[in-house]
Amino acid sequence: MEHESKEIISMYNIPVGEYKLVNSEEEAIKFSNKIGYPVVAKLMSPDIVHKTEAGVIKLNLMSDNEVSNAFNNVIQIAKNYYHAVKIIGVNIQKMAENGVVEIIIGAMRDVNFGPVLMFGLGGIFVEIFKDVSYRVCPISISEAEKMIQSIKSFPLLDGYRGKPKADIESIRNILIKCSKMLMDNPEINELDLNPVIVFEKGKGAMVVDARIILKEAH
Amino acid sequence: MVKIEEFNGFFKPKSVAFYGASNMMQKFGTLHLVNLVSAGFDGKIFPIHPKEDEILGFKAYKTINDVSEQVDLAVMATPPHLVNGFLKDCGQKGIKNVIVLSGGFLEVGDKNTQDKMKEIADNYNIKIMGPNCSGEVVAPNINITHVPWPPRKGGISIVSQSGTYAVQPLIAISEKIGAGISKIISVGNEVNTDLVDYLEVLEEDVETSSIGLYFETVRRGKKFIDLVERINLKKPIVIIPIGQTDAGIRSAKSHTAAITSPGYVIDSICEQTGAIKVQNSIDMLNLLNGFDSLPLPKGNKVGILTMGGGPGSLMSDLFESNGMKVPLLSNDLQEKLKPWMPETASTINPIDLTYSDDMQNYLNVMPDILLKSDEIDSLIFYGLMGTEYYNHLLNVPDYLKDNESVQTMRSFGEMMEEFFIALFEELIEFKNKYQKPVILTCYSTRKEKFVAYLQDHGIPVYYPEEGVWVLIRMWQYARFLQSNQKGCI
Repeated sequence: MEHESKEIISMYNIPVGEYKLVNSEEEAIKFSNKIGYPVVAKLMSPDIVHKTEAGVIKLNLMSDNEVSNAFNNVIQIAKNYYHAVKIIGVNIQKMAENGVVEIIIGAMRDVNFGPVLMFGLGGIFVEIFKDVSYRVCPISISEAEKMIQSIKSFPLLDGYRGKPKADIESIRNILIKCSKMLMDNPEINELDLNPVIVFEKGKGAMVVDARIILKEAH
Repeated sequence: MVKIEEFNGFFKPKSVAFYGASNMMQKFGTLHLVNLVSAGFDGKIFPIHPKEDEILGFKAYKTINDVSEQVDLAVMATPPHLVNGFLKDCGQKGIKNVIVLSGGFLEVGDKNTQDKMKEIADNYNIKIMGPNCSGEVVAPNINITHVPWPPRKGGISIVSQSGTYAVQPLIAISEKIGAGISKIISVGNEVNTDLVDYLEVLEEDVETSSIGLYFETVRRGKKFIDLVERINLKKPIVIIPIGQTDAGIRSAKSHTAAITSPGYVIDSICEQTGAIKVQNSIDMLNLLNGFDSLPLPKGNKVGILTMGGGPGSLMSDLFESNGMKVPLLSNDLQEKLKPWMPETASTINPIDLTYSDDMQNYLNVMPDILLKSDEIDSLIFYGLMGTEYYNHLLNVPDYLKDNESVQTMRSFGEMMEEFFIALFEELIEFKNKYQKPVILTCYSTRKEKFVAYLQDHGIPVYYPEEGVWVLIRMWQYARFLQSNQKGCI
């Protein structure tokens, strides 16, 4: 589940926005006020994998009222979706600001060579142009840098046509931390950080959504 | 770490026992014995056979125990159910290295027999090459394969999980490529020695200068990457991964029970380690031959000396679209070349002689001028005809055979060889003196004696585009080394 995945990646100091799994309207409002508006509410249920398609993600909530409506709304949608749906709670997190680019960091475990990291720019760059780079873990700082520089769309990270430069150093750090996490935890089979918002140089990056798939127990 | 001396029985045997060889030439085991003898193996051979007293002139023994002398290596080509029993005999005799050619184990689903084989081998400290393998070559005198084309000795070693790719290209090596081989190792099902072990052996092997790998599955992936990364800085490693598409994966699974890795994983390993991936077996051998024969290019500037416009242009296109330069020569250098060229020729690079029969200018004078200059880092030729050309030309109808000009041509053709060899000696000296790669391209094979001579003396001869790709990849490797050394500082 997303909140569990985020917990694991936070342990490796990979930046995820503040988030909390809540089980009541009151809790949702209290936490939203703590982190400040706008916020996002996502329903957490093992029965609903494709949250966007199911309509259980509510973005850009600006007030206590909107948070309380969203909380009830996503639970209702889930119950309509499947009468015996198992609900873990609702995840409240800060709505991410726009960054310079969105990236994807993924990993899978190869049967011969172990964990393999993937890096690419989000959206069409990965889906249509397949513009991604791979490295077998563990990776060094210089390998992480080469991995970032070797995608064709690298200029978009590097101040293309007057756009601000993205914080490449934080991408590099996330890659290295992911590599360490994958090496330390052989039970992690797949990793998908998608999207990760990268801000201007010096301002960091933030994982918006995370998914970790563990090896099936034998 | 492997102990190299535990592999000595494979690579330096003084005596070899054969199981499965008989007086029937067509038997698989017999082929291997015959090829070993024909390659000029000067050690002792002990055929083991339940009935025969003599096999192809060698005294045969009922069991290995009947052999009183020390045996360094045993080769088995028997039905699979007999292997483990013989293996035990070998263990008791103290034999430490066994090549199991026989198939019919894990690859057909018989895990038990193969596990038992490992147990016996480990128990007696035996290293097994195989089972289900195609044997080995240690040039020039050891050829324990079914392919009777022993190669000349050189610095190339190949380790292969495919038996066919390990040994059958020996035909192309002998007839076309002319590469010099140190060792060929067919690892088969890797029951207790694998690709990684042999890589460690080759790292230490002073006779090996470049390494080719065919693999489907790597049982110790991490170790493999570390080793390739380390060895590739000293000896270039060229790889062909097998089983990259659905059909390829299916095929690999069924023939060695291998689980392959997807192409992007292999590509990322190549980027990390600098190993060079190629697509086909001939590319691999051509490139290994380049590494074995030539110094690495120190820069990306290529001089092309051609007897035809087309190859000059295509070669230029390929070089320039793959990271190399075919630079325009300076006026000064062009002036130095001009006196030695026909008036119709072009002195800009490619240097196109169109047609010239002055072989001394083509093979000595102009290469010397070019290689001496710092305007080029490598030299590639297109075009040369030898005695075979005249043999074909003079294959005329009977009524022309006595014609006087035909007779003159015949004597000319016969003189070619000696004339060429003097020029080649000089050219080879230039290559060594200036330490720059020199490649000749043409459409002839080793039937043409000049091709064989050049290849055997360190100037590779390829088809035109093959030669271009060899140089491009050698430059990529040289650049990888350069950037890696800078990285260390």
